[in-house]
Amino acid sequence: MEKDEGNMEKSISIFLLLPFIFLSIFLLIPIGFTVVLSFCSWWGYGPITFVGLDNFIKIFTIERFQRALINNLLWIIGVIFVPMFFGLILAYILLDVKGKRIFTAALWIPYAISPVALGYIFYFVFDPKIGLINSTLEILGLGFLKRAWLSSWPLNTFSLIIGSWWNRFAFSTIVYLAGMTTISRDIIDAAKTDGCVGFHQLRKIIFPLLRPFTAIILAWSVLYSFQDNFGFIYVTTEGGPFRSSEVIGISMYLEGFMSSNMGIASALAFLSTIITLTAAIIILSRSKGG
Amino acid sequence: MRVGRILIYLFLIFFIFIWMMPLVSLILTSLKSEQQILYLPFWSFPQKVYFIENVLLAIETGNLGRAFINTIFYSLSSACVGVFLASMIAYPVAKMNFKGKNFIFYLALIGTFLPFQMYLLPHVYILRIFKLYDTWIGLWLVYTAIVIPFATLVIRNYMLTIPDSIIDAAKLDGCSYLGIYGRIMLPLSVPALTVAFLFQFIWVWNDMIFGLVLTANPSTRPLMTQLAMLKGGYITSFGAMAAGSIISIFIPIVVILVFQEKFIQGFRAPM
Repeated sequence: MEKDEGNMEKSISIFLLLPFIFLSIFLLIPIGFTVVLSFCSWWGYGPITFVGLDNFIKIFTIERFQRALINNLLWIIGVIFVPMFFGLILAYILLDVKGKRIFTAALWIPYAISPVALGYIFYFVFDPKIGLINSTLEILGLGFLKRAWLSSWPLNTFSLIIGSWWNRFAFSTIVYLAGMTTISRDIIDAAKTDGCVGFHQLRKIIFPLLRPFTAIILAWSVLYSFQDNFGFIYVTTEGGPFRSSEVIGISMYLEGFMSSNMGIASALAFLSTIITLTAAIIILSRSKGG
Repeated sequence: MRVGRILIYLFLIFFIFIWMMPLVSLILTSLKSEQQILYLPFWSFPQKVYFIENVLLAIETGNLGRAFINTIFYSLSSACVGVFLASMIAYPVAKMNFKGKNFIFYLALIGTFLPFQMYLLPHVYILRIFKLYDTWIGLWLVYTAIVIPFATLVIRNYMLTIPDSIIDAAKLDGCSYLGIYGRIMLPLSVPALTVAFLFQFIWVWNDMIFGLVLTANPSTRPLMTQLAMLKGGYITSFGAMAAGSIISIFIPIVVILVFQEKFIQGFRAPM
């Protein structure tokens, strides 16, 4: 038996060695380095000096970072609740519909489209002169509603969030559909015979059963509003005009790669990680217990 | 009841109609020349179609042909190798008992829960140290490492469902751990390996930020990064942007539509 133990430990280290070389060099060490840098001042060369909480104080006091933080909070809220609510309802409607496959196929398409291409698509949608929204308003005789959707705050952030719904809505509907197929038909039928149908059934019976799927949507949405909207905003507004539609991800890119202000960039990254992890921990503990 | 059904179908058809609008507008834009985009009504179909010209313009100004080949290489090979490496973590974590097992598992997962920004900046310096900045191998290594965490989660959760009795029987037959992994665990986990591969293939294909930061010229840059460059380029053409978008989203859409069921399994996998 002892020989087997030693054998097992040797095999385990053989299995873990190569993957962990990758993980250490490209994830674990960089993450540690970013944490350290967020308390330092560094311009990409020369000495690294410790500055304590200076970077974080700057983030909370300088106006353009405050704007990015506010925008990011708007993104988190905007990207979570509306897509989740309508995704749940749409998934419920689709559950019993014939030809479900055609509808779900249409839903999948925006999920497959990359942030950059989404950026171009909504660049054409929101363009003030040649864009989809303004031209359609003109045709419908609603010309007075025409706006320059992306050129002033807070309208630009709201427009971009609504644009991202196309993708987020697809995501939450698909996840809820995946969840609903795990609920046994008996439960739904039993509820039906008890007179529990429609919205009531959705709220009282299906939604509680889908708790783990709701947790997935919540956690990925928070992560989305920090990392995946980067390409989308980069293409549509580049965070502009005058840095008004910036989110933390864009600020971090500009500080780190355009201004070589590594300390602030790392602090921004660390801040978004703290928010994401806190959200993930709350969400996961809620979804497990009670 | 009947009327209710019909209303639901009407609602769904109306919904899909609105839903496809952005895509339709992208396609319409890609068919028009600059003149037509500026002066024709938005919803009109052009008399002369300029799609081919737009595609060629996009490929020429954005160097999209080379970028397309790069992206096929990046997404196929890093998803393959990353998933394989992930299975090497997943097997011991799912099926062996040892100290610090959960610690190892969570350490491997950490990349899934943190935003990219958290490791983006040091990558530049790490690649510079190894003289791999702006090379295929450099970007490939980074993608492969980032593929591992989520793939580990999917594969480990699947391996947990494989009964221990199979492994015990193999042990009695004198099969080594490596043999169990290669002959039993990997073949039985093919469904999970496929799910992980597909998710990560799409992720690498659609990524733009690592390409933007870790490569500096069109011969190494991936497709999405080059596509994003179209807008800031010296020739700004709406038609080219639209046509470039269409050729770059084509493959992910086909893959996702063909493997819908697999992606749904992936959403169930984290539990």
